[in-house]
Amino acid sequence: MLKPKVISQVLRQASTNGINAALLMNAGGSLLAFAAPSDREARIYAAIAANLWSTYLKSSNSDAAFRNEKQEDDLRLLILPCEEGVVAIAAPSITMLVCLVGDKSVDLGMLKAKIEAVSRHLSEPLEKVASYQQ
Amino acid sequence: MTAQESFQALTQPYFEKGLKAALLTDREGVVVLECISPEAPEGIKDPALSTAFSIANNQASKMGLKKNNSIIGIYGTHQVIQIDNYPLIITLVALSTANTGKYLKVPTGNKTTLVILIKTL
Repeated sequence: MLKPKVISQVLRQASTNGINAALLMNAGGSLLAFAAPSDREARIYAAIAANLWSTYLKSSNSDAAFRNEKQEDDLRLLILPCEEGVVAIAAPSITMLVCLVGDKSVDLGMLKAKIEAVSRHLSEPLEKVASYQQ
Repeated sequence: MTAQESFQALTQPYFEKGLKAALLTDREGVVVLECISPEAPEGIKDPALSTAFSIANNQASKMGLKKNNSIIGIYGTHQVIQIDNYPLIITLVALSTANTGKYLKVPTGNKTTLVILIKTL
């Protein structure tokens, strides 16, 4: 069973040192848990992040350039540096996405390490949930 | 020196550090300049990558973080770094273990070549 309170605590732990928001959502962009300054911002980030992930997933699946028919060649992480901040998106399970939004002071390497750690931490319990959905 | 030659000269040092391909395309995926290693994955010239970038670049600019400059996609064995240089896109394909930060600095050196190309467009 998933405990929403614990997931929020995990996400809150990631929201330090320039990370303004940490979100857990499904592939459609519906939020499951989040740590963000406001609900509105979290919903906007989640909707756009899910859309971005699906755009890249579709393009990589269609041309098969980086897949070579092997699962280990799937899309793992997206990083989007913007003028006023940076966004990172990863998929801890088939149906779930994790998104971190940081300000411009955040180093890309630290952001990558953080999202990989959160994603790894959440992957096992989320995989169990995904198996019920299928 | 032709534009192709100067693009090649600019990207050549990065090929020793894990870069597999460097492409300069428009937003529809038409290749303007290219420099591809024989070990590069197949299908990297597929326009789907560039069109995905132009859609994603536009959407990411609406997140409230001002304009999106680049998108880094990390796959199992490769990483794709796409840098916006309106109206063109620089696409770099490298090993996933390669130093991403180094590739993000490529467009600063490429500015003169790009300015000439953008003017001609």
